[in-house]
Amino acid sequence: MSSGAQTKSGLYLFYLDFVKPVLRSGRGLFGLIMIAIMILMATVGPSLIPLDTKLKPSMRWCLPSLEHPLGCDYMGRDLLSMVVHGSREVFLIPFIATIIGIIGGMSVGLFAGYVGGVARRALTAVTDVWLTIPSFPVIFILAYVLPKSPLTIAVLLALFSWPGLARALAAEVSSLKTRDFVEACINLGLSKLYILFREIGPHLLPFVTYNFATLFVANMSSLIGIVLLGVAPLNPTNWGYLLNQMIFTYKGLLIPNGSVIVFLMISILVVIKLGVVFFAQALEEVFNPRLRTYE
Amino acid sequence: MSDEVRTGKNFKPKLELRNLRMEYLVREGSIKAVSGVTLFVDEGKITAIVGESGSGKTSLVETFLKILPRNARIRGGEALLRLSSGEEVDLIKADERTMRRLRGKVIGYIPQGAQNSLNPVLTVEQHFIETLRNHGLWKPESSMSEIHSMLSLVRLDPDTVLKKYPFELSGGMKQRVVIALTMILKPELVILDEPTSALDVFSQRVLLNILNDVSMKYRNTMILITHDIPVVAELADRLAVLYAGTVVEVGNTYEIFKEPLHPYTSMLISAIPSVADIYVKRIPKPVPGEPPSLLNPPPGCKFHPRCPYAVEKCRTSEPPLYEPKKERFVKCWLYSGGEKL
Amino acid sequence: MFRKRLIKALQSISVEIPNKSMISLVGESGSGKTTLGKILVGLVMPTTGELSWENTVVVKDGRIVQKDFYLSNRHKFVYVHQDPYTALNPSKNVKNILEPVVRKYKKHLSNADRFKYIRELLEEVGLVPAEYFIDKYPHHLSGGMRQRLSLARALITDPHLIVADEVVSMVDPSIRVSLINLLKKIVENRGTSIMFISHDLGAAVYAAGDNPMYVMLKGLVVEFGPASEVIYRPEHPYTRALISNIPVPLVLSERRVRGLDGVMESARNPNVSSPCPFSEMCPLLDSECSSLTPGSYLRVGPDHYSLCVKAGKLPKWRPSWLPASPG
Repeated sequence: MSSGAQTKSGLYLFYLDFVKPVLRSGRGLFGLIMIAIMILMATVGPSLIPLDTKLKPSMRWCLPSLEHPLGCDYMGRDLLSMVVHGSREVFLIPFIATIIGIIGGMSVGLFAGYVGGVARRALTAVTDVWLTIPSFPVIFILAYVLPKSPLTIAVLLALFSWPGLARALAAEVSSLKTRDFVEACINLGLSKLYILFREIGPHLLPFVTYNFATLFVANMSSLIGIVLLGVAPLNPTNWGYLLNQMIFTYKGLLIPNGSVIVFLMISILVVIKLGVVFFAQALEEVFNPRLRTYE
Repeated sequence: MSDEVRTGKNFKPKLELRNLRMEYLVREGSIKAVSGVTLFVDEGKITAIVGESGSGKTSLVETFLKILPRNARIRGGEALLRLSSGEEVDLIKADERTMRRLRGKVIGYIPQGAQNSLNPVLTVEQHFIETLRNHGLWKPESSMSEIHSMLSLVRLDPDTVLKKYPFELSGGMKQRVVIALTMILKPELVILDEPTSALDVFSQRVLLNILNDVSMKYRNTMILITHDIPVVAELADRLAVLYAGTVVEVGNTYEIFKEPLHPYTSMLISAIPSVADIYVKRIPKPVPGEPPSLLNPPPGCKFHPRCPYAVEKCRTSEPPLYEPKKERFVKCWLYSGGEKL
Repeated sequence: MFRKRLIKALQSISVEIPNKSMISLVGESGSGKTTLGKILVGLVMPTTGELSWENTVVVKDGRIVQKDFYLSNRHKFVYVHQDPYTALNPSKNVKNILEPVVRKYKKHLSNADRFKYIRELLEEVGLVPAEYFIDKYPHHLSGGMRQRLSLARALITDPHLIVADEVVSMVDPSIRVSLINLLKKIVENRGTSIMFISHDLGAAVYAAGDNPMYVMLKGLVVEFGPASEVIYRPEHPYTRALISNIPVPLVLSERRVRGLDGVMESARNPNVSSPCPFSEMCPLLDSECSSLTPGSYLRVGPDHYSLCVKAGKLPKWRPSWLPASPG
């Protein structure tokens, strides 16, 4: 069928192609809101909401109210302010780790997938072994042993982020390599690098985006996990640290109100994770139809 | 089988499509896939609907079979099906329950690529039993012999084929199994969408023969949808040419080939290279231009941008369906002298 | 011979493509025509045999022999795919599909000249007005337009040979002839040779005209010669059966569905074994056929050869759709 779509302005098409479908899907909308909240929390949050450092033992474990929207912690401090102030670390470290992991995974994956043959098999073997290493216990132990700084944790997390993507990318590139339009490029003598980055590359975008999101939330959980278990005490507002104190030091779970606050904390984490993953799913749905030829 | 002469308006067609309109909603607007299709399908005959990609032929069938995707909207028209029991059903207005009652037992549909829709984990025999059971037609005493004779009709050896799985059969054989499965329910109306497209020349030839045999034996009404012009020349009694979602010419196949009335029909037939060309000293002539966009169809007669006979009137208003000769309908201003439908 | 993971795709094929002409290769799917097409442009390596470009042997027995010549010439032998939907990168528009190739092979062009070149190229293949098409994506184009774009891309290297593999098969019937005419125009204007591969015998004959046409079956060429000759005086039972059984738009006096002609519908008598690819379906199969040698042909006319051992002795034949001659 011929010349149907009039060329509307680029911006309008961008809106139609990406923004509208994401907004239309329930997940996309939810995710978008979540991410907006996250960004706000980490950037302007701490300036808007001052950290409550007053110790008011009489207010401890208070339930959510207008004055304290998320209730109070074990020392009567406003939990919302703790959460907002802790968000920077809880978001930033996994973010950096994920970026490093993605870059690493992409390098290995693209190379292995495109070159194929022995190289691919060797690299796949390495990634497979790496994947079977139980990441959390290892990170846990190394975090305990190594100097405790945010950077160390970020690197540790990154170390276990790359293999999954590498393996999947290698498979994806391997299959894309056999497509007709790639064969046409090879026939016309276009360079391998060009084909890899400019022809195959755009097809990998949805893939990488989704992996980024899932890796991010996984790293976030790992980070909170190791802090929760008391291995790497970082910033006291780190959510993991909060949970650590709540559960272990102050035995929050044994107190009715305390349990509520603890589960509230955990729910916040779950909701954020869901939001990020939903957004990535919505984005993926948006990317894929555009790359599928339709007529 | 010669054409029976219709006697006035008393003869009622098996399927009567009147002014069907349907469009797909897409992000750029709406695709007018079916824009005013009026077509009478006679009982006991093979009618072919011929059109190129974008002509709307599959959309048309999906419209009156009510198997449209979610973004489709039926905008008007009726599709009257006259059952052998005397009952008349407007398929467009029929609800899903009625449609389900009709599908299979009254209306058989073999979509494009049907040979790939066989269940890979069931044998041919199991396919038949399941199909008959689902429609409540399984009779332990007689069904097996019916299956045997049906398979023989489609030129498959029952003893060899019944126990086989789909992957053990060739494309042509699978296609015949699908036809047999459809026919075992003895539907009054059978619709086949591109039945020969994926087949090699010999399998295609055999399939045409089989369809002819089936038609002769069961005297059911068949609608054949295809873009392959030569195929319809032999098999179809009547031919309807579809262009940009509307019928531009209908009539007896032989007469249309002998003397196509609509410029598109004439150009389409001349544009197809054939092995016969050398024998009859014919040189194919291309049709200029491109098929129109159904998103923004041209105004007036949709063929006018490519038509060598186009005049001002063709650019502004769409012609009605004229009947310049008995049983021959053309949607073209050139024939405005004749009777209007 | 060519082996591909123990499946013999081609056996003993010898094909010669003359300068500045379009020849046809006809065969059903599975006949090996695509494999042959890809071998000719260097996309696939044959197991044994020789491939020569411009009278220079480049591939022999599975390896490249004249490496420099091969590398500096392979862009002159281009392949155009069948499926216009997968042969173009869906995430790139017309300009981005053509530009990288132009940059590579027309380095001397300035930015402005490059744009002009692309515009003229689009005009040459019939995508006019060029300005309209330049920013369109493949999904905005019809099948015929996409093939024209694939063709444009192939022309940038000023190729010696274009292998057009089923380029009209996925295109509307009314457009096919104009695409073939475009190919003819390219041969005439640029002096390029084109190998037109198709399963559509009618299209193949129209494309080749009086130039050679090769008929393939199961990895072997069964007949070859000037297309007009092969169609009018076929000297192989397979070719005859193909011609006879294809539906033709000639109209007979009454609707009559022709039976299968020249082909055995059911399994053949297993007593005679022959390397002939048509042996299972040939009605003329007999003991003589077991002496067939793949690759050795009988001359049946000027430049016209057949693989059949009975070539030249075949019974008189006419296609079943030809009306009986009057009187």
